Amino acid sequence: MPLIEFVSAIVGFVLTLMVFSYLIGDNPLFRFAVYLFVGVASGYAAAVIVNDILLARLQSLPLGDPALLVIGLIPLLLAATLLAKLFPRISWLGNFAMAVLVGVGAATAIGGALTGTLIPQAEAAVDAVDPRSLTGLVGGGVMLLGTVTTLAYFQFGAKRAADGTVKRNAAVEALAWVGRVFIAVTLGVVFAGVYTAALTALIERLNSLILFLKSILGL
Amino acid sequence: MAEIRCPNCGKETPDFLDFCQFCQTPLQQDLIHIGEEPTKKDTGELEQILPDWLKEVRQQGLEEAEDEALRPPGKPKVTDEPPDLLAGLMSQAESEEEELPDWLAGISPSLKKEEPPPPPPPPKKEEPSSFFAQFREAETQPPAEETPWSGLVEPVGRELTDWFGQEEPSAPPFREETGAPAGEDWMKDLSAFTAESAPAQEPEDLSWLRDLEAASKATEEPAAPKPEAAFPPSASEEDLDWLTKLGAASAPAFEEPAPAQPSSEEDLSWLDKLGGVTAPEEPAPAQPAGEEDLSWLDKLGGVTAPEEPAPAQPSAEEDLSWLDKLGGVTAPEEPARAQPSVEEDLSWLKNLSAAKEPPTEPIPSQPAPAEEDLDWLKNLGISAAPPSQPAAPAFADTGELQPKEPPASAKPFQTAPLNELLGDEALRDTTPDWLKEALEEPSMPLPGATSLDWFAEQAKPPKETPPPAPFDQTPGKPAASTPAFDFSSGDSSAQDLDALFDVEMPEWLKSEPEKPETPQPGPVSTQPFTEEGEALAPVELPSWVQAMRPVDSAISGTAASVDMVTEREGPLAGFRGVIPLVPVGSALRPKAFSLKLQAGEEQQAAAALLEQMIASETAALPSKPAAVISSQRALRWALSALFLLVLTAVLWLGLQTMPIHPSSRLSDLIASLPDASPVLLVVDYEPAFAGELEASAGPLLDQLALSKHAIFDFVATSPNGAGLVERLMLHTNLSKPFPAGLGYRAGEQYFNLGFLPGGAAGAAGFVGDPQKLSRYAAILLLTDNVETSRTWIEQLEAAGPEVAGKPLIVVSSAQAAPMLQPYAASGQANLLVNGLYDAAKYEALNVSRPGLARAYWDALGFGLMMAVLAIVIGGAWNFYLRFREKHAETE
Repeated sequence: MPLIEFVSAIVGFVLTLMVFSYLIGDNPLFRFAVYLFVGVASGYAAAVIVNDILLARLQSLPLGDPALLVIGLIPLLLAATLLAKLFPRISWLGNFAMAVLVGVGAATAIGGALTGTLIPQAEAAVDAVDPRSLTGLVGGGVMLLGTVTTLAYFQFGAKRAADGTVKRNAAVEALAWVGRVFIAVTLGVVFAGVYTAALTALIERLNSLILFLKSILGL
Repeated sequence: MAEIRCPNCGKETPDFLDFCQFCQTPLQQDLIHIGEEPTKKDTGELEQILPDWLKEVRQQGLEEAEDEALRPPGKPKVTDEPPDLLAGLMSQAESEEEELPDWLAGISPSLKKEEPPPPPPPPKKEEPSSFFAQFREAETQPPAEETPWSGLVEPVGRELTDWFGQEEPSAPPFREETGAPAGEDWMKDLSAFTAESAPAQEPEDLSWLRDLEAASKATEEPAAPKPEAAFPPSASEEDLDWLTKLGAASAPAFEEPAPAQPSSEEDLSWLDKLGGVTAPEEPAPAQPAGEEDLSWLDKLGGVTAPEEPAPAQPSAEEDLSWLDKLGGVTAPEEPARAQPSVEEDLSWLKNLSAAKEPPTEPIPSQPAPAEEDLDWLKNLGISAAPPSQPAAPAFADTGELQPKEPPASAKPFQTAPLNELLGDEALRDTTPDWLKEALEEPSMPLPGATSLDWFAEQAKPPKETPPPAPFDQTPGKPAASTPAFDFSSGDSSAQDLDALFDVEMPEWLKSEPEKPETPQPGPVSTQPFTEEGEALAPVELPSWVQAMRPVDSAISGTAASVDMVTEREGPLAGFRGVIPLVPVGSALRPKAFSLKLQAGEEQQAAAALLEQMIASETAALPSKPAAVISSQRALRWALSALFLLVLTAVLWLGLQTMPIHPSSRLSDLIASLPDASPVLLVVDYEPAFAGELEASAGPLLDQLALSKHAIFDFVATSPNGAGLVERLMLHTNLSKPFPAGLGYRAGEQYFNLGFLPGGAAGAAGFVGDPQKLSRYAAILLLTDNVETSRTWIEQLEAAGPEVAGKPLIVVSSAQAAPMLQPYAASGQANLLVNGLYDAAKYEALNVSRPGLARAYWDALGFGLMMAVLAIVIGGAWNFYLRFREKHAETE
């Protein structure tokens, strides 16, 4: 095993144990490991941004073409104005760049959601109900029921009853109750996925420790 | 006991009573009417039964008279004797609040019936009174025309009898000069204030008065204008009115300038005031002067049995000698025995005006103290000895006049021995009515009783309030506005006239006119019992007992103190009653309401409960000391240890017992890709999920690299993504050299394009160039985040159909797979690798290359089973606890 790999394996092993120490409780070892990961990740990210983004863009500026140079300098100028946000007196200089970012991001998100999620998902929900097959009908029916009942659950319109109490419509109330079942199942599935992901990460770490120990032990 | 039938009610009344004890009707046979001459009585034999105090007074008076006679003329009298308390009564230096006690007034009810004279205004200090103005005017007159009063202003040591005697030669007989009317007026007044019929008086008793009157007539030729407003319109009495005012201290008489009144009538009118008798307005019937002269003395002595046959009365001088001690027992006087003449008769007058203070001291004028002074004298006179008392030697023989230890005034009313003597019928018959009344009167206070406090205060030496000078010491200067006889002052002849005006008016005298309710000792009414209701009835509570009631004193004292508050600070210091006690405008002030909340017990209890709740909210609860090892922590440790132990064992052992169902759907899609085509790999996950995603994407990358020899272009949506690319290539054995790996090298078989900034915009911009994206045979999205993966899916969908037509394979973490399942179901994602579960199936299809998914699969299986068991066991335990609680509640 190369030395760098051995040292890396030892560091990884120690840091892994330090993170596992959180099972006992919050302790300095766990904090040290966490702070170390955060610091290393931030530093690495900063280095990547400077090296892969800023320097790469500056190096790629078309100095011979003024038009492209101006266009290339515009993002640089807007990025420089964002630095003005650090100073309250001149923070207004970064408002335009910030507005561009928010506006462009919102427009991109809305356009992507509309064209990439709402319409395709609506079409998919409709297409899921396939009366031509029992599975398609049942599956489509369950999906439709789940969709309708879940939406009904988040419907909060109600009327005042004769006795003064405010209640939703009985049909909506029944649908909401069914939708609550679907929501519970969905959250259960999400929890299972989270647990599975965490368990997989634990297994990967334990496997790395075992491999290190086996490598050390020559097993 | 003899009884008299009341002419009004017809009931029997003891003969010694002046009024009917039932209807208070005067018993006419005992009264002396105006014009009647009282029957002269000789009561010398009764001296033996006189009270001790009276005997002591007489004895003291005799001694003083002797001392006075032995003292050289002009030598001031210095006495070491204790101050005479009776003389203090004359001064009345105390305030008006200390009035004559009721018990004493009750002895002579007739005094209450007196008509109060018009309240005299307070005499001015600086301004001499009219009385003194007379002397001023007389000063300018020739000496031959000086009034007899000039003889009064003699050096100290001169006695009253002396100046009376000196006037005799020059003064014509009283009757001859002034005539009957003048002498009758004041005599009638004097006789009017007694309620009993005056016994016949001996003519020789009036000789001194005649002389005196004659002398004054002779010296006062010009008739001074008489102040009409001050005196009542009585032709014969006007001349004597100024003398009347002496006793009454009438303010108008003092204020109005009166010229010298040379008339002897006026000079003698002061005698009217001797007993406080001022009744100028009442017409007096003409009576013989000689008879009337002694009538006023009868009033002083309170003759109550005039009709009884008077025993042998030595002389009028002897009768009056006992009175010498009443006014000034300490004044040195000539012995009464040694003066058988008329002067001896008047010695009592001299003693009356004698002061206890040394005569050398200038005696300032005391304006009108005689109003109250003479009140007591009148009262005493009525209930004390009549003028027809035995002569002084009779008392001296008994030896009772020797002064015993306390001053004579200390026990003036020791009547207990007299009461004992009443048992003797012989003595009772000879006892005059006035003495009987004194003996029978149950209201007489005992010595040392609290009702005598006023008496003790009266006996104080009048140092603060200088005694008035009855007569001007300086010739020509008018006398001060004082009564003719000042009983509190000593020798009036040594007085300085200037001191008279410098004397500050006593407070009691100033405020005297302001007390309408106080009976003024003015002229005695001819009908003393005008108010029958005030007469002391025998069956009623004695007045002195009533006076001792605390309610009376409290009310009077409170009223005086409240109404007249003396200012102590500020410019008004010293003034009384300037600032009203009641605040001005207090009635206009709004009524003050209490701010205290009227809350009942229930409300107060609720308020207390609320306060307790608030206090409990603000109070910090004691924190529970955290146990070092709690159940939750132990459980967590146990579960952690269990999981670590099981997973480690599975991994260490390399168990592959869990079944895997391979899926061909994934391999079919990869198989459809062209060979050596570039594949875009979007690294959109964090380092924490690197192990999962590396294991999940391993079988896919291995197939692409091994079967299709795809070229990988890696682009990361996070800054750390670039580093994860190398790790991915390493851990999937793609970058490892052959035979351990596939030998992919960076820049040849795979390209790390680095970080793609901008999020959705960056993604949109990246996929927006169709030319760049069109060269990729497939887009492989490695993500652990639903949002970023959705963004990439959406942007690829939005990039257009050309881009959207590219196969999209999403390798997702297990936590994001459920949310990305709709995109896979809808066809937007061509293939979705859901974590390790799908990776293991894919790997199984590829004969478990590179083997990570399979290596983790058993451990994952055991871990999921343990989790399921933990959840089930935990749920069951929780259900058991709930059941136990409900069971306990039901029980």
